[in-house]
Amino acid sequence: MRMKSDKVTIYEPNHIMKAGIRVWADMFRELMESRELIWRLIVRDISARYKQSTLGIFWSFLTPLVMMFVFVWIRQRNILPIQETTMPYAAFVFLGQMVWLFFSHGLTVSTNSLVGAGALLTKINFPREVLVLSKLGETVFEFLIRIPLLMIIFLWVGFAPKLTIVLVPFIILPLSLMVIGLGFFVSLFNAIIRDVSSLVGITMSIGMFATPVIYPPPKNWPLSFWVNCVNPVSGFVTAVRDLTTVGYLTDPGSYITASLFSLLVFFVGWRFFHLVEPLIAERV
Amino acid sequence: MSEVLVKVEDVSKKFCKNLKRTMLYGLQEIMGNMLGVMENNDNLRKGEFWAVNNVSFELKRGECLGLIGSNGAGKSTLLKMLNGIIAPDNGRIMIKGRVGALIEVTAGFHPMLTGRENIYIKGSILGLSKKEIDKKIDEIIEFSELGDFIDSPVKHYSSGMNVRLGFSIATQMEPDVLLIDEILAVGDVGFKAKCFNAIARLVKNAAVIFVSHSMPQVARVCSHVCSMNKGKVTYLGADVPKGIEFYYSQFEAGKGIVTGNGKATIHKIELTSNGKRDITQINYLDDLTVILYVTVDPDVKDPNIGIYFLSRELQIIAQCSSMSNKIPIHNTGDPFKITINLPRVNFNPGIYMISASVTDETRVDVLALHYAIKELKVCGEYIGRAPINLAGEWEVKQGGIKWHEKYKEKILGDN
Repeated sequence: MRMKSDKVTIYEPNHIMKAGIRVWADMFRELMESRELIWRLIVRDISARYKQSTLGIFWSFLTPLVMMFVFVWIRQRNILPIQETTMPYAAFVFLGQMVWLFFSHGLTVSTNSLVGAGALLTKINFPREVLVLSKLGETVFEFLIRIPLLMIIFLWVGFAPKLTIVLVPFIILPLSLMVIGLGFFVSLFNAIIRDVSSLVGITMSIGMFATPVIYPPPKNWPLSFWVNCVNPVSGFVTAVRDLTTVGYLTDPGSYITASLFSLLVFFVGWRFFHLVEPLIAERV
Repeated sequence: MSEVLVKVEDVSKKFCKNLKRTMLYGLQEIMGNMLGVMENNDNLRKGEFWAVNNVSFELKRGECLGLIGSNGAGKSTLLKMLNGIIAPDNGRIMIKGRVGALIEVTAGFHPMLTGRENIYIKGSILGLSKKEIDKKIDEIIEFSELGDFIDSPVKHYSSGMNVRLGFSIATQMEPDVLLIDEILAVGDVGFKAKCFNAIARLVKNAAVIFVSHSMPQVARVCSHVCSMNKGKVTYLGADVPKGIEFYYSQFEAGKGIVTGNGKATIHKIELTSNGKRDITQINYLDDLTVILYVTVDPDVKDPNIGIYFLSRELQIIAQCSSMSNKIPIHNTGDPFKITINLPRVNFNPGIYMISASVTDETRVDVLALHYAIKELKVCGEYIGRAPINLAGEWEVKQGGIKWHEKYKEKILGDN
């Protein structure tokens, strides 16, 4: 079966080819055409990841579980004075971890998405966006398989979440856009300067403490402004907890700001990636 | 079937030699692109050079362009631009239809997944839909001859099996424009022959750009040739032997290599023909005489002295040695003058190199070796592609001959 194709492709210097507003149409078309490829890469990453480890999926539970026990212990011993939380502390930490890991793990894997592609990047022509986009699949998958564990923890601590918990996807969606958007940037820079990957690692380690993951949003700390307002992930963490405990958003402003920020990061990142991507194959 | 599928106009590409500077320029370009600042691409910045410099050509369906040149001539860079992996700094490339590339066919395989899973992944990367792959997968598996291995992880494959799988997928692409980069150096003989057939099938319906260092392959496959040197085109046209000549002319004609353990010395190698001395060229089917002036250490009683003819690819195509000709040589230590007459030299016109060697009777210890030390040009009309053009004695009859019918059937049945 011969696919007759009359498609004409033009390659020109980058600044001519990728300038202008018309390029958005190309970007969307390209994205739609590569849906299948993205799906395939997601399946590939997930199945390859769990194939070789004996504990497999269990590892995805282990990280947040260990963190949960550590912080519950720290709090009980009063090593860190953490104020009362709206839900039992164990569930509070686990839920916070789930959202935070979604962000940090997602960003970490996309940082290395281009560099890790190796010969694929330097030898084969295909839309490079899929490499960053498909990395989110793994993150979403991990998030999903942690949900049953979260339910078990809710049962264990005797906490009944509000029904509004089903609206959590509306929080995760903008968070995903932010992860991809930032991923577009960091993966590109990491392809040129490898230091970026270490930088992202450190930022993620510190970032967890600058986000209300293990403590509720602070009221009168010196850093509380940073933790509550500037950090875009905070809004999402708080919003997820609100939907679980009180059933409405206590701070809709920060959620909306964070969502708008995510949209902006996503589109700017995407455009940037599309623009710069042809320079990458020769710099990797 | 003669539409122009590839059009390359004044394409240039520059690269930087320094790694740190490369990163700096990379960041600069990213920022420039982001802000829409037009850079002047005509000038080289510090540490840069033109990897591809002002290349233009056109290619129609059914044509095959051989891209040849020394290492670093810019062939692969040009191929990458044609494949859309890197953008040109200047000029314009137009490509019509689907592009297929037989470049690094194993790229993108995931070692943990099975061959079958990898076919789907690689297929999607190359732009095939699931439906198309479903339709082709049996053909792919059959072509790869991997059998049951198709369902074991690729990491258990040998490198040859890897290439087989990659190649089988790539050849199912049915492209309009096909890019081939030095791919045929792998795989066993059987698979190689199969690949050649598969490529021959693709070539008929596509415009092909073929990068190779093997001139016999280029001569065999290509209808056009583009010879490059340091980013520039030195020859472009349909006269393939001429293009190949340009390629060879880039290399300094052999100073040769002189080695050996010192127990023998070859003082001089002289070529004579038809009474003329110190010649460098003969005509096809002329007689050639090689005279060697040699001294051998008296320790070595029965040296073996020989000469070898090499093609431009430095492959030995003919030999003549005292041992193989059953000529006993007994050494006393006095200087030798050895004359070897070679009647009717039947090398296909072209340029050949001559090596001379002295070994001991075991042929293990090399006492003296002058490798590719002399050049011999054979003049005449180059026909065909083999280095040796046997001058046969022919008899051709047609009409008035009766074949036995059975005999005829048998011949046809054999093929």
